[in-house]
Amino acid sequence: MKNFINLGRDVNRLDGYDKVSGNAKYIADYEFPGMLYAKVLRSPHPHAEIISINTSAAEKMEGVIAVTHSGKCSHKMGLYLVDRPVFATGKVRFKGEPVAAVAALTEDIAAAAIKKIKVKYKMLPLVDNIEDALDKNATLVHPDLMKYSYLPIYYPKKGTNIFNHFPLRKGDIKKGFKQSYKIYENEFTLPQIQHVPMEPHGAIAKWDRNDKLTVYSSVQSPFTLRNLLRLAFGLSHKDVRVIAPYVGGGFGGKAGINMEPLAVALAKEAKGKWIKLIFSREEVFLGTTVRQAMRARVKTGIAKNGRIIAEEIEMIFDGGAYAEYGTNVVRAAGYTCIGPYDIKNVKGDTYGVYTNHLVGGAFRGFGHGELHWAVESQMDIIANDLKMDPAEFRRLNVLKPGSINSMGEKITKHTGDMVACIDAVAKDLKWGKPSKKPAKPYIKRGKGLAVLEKAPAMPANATSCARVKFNEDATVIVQFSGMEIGQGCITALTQIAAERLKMDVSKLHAAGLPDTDFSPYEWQTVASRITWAVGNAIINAVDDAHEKIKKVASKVLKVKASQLDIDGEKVFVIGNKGKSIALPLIIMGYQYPDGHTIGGPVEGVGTFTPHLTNLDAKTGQGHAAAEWTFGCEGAEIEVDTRTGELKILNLVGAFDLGTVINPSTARGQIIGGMIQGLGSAVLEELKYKDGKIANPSFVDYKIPTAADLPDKIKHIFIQTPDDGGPFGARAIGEHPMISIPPAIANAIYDATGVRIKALPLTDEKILSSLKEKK
Amino acid sequence: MENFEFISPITIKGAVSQYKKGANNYYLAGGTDLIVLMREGILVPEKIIDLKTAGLPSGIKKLKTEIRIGALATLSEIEHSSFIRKEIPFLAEAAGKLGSPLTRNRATIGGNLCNASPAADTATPLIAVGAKFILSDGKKERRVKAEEFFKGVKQTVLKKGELLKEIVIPRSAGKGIFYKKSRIKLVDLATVNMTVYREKKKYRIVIGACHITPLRIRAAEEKLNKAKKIDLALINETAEIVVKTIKPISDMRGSAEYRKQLVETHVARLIGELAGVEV
Repeated sequence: MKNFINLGRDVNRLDGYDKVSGNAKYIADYEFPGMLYAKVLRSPHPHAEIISINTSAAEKMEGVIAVTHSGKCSHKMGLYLVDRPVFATGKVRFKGEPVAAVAALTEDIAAAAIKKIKVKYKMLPLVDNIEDALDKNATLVHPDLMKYSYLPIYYPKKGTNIFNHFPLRKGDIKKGFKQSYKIYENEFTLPQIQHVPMEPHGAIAKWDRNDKLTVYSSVQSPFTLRNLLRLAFGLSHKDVRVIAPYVGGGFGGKAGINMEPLAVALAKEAKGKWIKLIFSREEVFLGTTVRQAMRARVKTGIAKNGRIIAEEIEMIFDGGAYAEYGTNVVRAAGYTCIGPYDIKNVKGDTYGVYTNHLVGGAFRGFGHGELHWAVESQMDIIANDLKMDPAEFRRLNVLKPGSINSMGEKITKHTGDMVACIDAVAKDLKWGKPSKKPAKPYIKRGKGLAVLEKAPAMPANATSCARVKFNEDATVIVQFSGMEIGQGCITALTQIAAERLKMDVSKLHAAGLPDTDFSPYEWQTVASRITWAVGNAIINAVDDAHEKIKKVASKVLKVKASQLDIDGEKVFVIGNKGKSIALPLIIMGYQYPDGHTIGGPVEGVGTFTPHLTNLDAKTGQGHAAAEWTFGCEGAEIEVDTRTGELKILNLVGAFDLGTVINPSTARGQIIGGMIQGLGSAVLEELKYKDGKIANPSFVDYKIPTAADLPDKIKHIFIQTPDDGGPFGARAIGEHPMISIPPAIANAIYDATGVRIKALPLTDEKILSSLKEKK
Repeated sequence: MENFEFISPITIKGAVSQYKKGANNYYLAGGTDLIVLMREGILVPEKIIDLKTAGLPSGIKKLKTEIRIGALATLSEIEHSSFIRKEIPFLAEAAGKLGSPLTRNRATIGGNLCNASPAADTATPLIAVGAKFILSDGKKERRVKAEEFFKGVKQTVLKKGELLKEIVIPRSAGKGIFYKKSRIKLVDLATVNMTVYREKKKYRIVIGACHITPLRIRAAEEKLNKAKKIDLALINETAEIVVKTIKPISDMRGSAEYRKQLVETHVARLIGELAGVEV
């Protein structure tokens, strides 16, 4: 390990004071003079034609300022596939879809006005699941699919509900199965789940009479939001300004574009007025995106020595009523489809299909929680059938230096150490030794583990920019537009800047809340990429500032710039530290004794672009992963076989996250992710009845509380430096959530012999599976 | 939420007469059920009559032969009352498992009972301990047994305008155990809940969330009460009687079959614990 002055250190969160004191402002806290308040009318039906919309009674109400719907605002939006109208147009495609919106003097008036809008519907056949969507005579949710615009890296299928098909072909699958000693085939499923961020979504918009648009939003991606708003509403980037306050949790649910256009559409009708739209918790359930449901079929061929030599995997994602962002979930799951395994012959087909369900989108894990649920359950089934130790089976088959992964990338020793992650988890779980005997004979204990990998899922042109600005006293302001969504990026990025500046972090201030008019460009705060990508941009920005300082200093000290170095306090001649200039004397320009001044205020600008390529359309081969993070998660559990009650005794996760920038916030990310993974494993499920969500609130959509946490929960850092990451750091944001479900399912199998292939692993499901086994 | 008239009566009589003035008036105690239903538009009251000013008793009183809990006592008060915790610990536990601390600080025991959910957490311990409810119509008072109070889902013996004023619990040396199964340990509704109570070798068994009301299972009690010796076989037979008597529904929190299995296992465990039999 290198000797760092600011890294590997528990620097207190720089947003900590704001957040614990109540000083931090969130979208709902903003109030402006003359503000109007908005409410949205939502579709009561999952699939219906809109015959007519009558808003006259609402418009006549005192205090109602603007009413809008598809008749006035027919814009479409979408990051990857532009298929989603701001307001349902012609038909509604899911229960909860916005049909109209009202802006009024008060929220109560807006709420009352919404009820006066009369909409006539004619029911359409319901596409209620993946099977309905793929039926030969399926009702098409989007008959005009091929007319939509989309990036050329996606493959919608004409005349079907398939909005993207990602094929992956590697080696010779037929030959692989032919050579196999044993072949296993299984099906796994999981339901839609909600992000349930603590802060509900909200936006405030003003459309000035000179057609300048300003939007405040609870957003993960201010610049991408600006771009998509401008595309939807036909404006120039220069005329759209997005300001992003603190965000109270995103988890993917505030990525891309969400509910902002609803506020903007009203702002356009009431020019010059601020329009505030804050979702209720119920609207977060009904009107924002969710993690897609999935069905996977996995067929695996094994050689006599236990090596996997062939795998065929078909994953079908229920993308809901609109694909837009979810299109890329399909692609990301598709190119990682076999997980972190070295398999010579692979056939992968990953599909996204339209249904009349809630809109699927980005969700922590981005397809990887889904694919690892299938793959890591499958691996356990195989290992157990082969009577091999499941940890040993994985050690034998996972990616190692020299391996070629699913899309043909070569793994090196810098990619990360998967085996070390498995070893660390096995050691913590006392793998191979039976669990302590429970007090009662009907209580069964078991252990399970599951590996994982993920790369940032992003297009090849996802770029970052950062700036460092010196102040007169040689303190530094760092500017970037990675969003602080709770993950601690403001702190980590400032530590990286300080390290490169060779200054203590206390000399820096992070201007970390973006305003697109003033802040450097950032693609999106998604894909676990901010510390990694923006960290690199910051290093380049510091280097740029240092070059500028050296350029001036070389004139003053009459040496070549290459002979100079900079520490936190001065610029000096290498080998002669006495010959130097203190930074405060140069960072605003150097003034000679006679008064004349050279140089000027020092600002460094740095950018970062990952080196990626598009993937081959037929084989999915290419280079889509800027870096990988490997990990392994394990669980020890007990099951009361009389009631199905599951108790988590121990959860452990080991991740090769490269250089740890801030151990405390990294730990927070890992533990938080593991607990979110626990929720998705044992509790969370959006349930449909007749195409309508039956549990759109916390009454019946349950996430773990503090009381539901495991007796023990542990994180382990493996630190193989990433040669492309800032000071060797790599991504960790999403990964801890990914393989908790299969680790727990595998432990349940170990304890009881019952294999559950459909999430969530509820007590009731465990009990009924135990009964079936008997 | 729609507009409504808010009334703060200063007597029970005043509260009742205001209530009777319309068909769509509601009493407000803690409001933790009422406000949720209003927000969802399920209830649209004309008048809300606040009981907190109407002179209803609120505290917990320890008398020589009985304990009195005012209808306006909050679940937090009951949960944390050192006296209740000592004398009727299973009631304190039931109160402490309802909703969240925020809810329990507002919610009242009277509200929990009058809302008459089959899953009401405070119902099974009160029925098991032989509590009586004092009802008042502002003029007259009457007493009903806790087990006779519930008539159906959201239905009680309360006549129009009549109020639950106070809960009377006989002091005794009996021992009871409350059990609640929910999907998460806190802040959740009961999938099933139950109380088994034993006093002078006589058992009372009350099951919640498995019928249109919380249900006392007398046939099962008799099986235990008549037995000379309680052993595992008898407990299992008793649990079978319980399961045959209840009529749970399937809903978001669990299927009828699952509920039956939970009840069968847990009622046996509670009886076993009270009888000192390993189950």
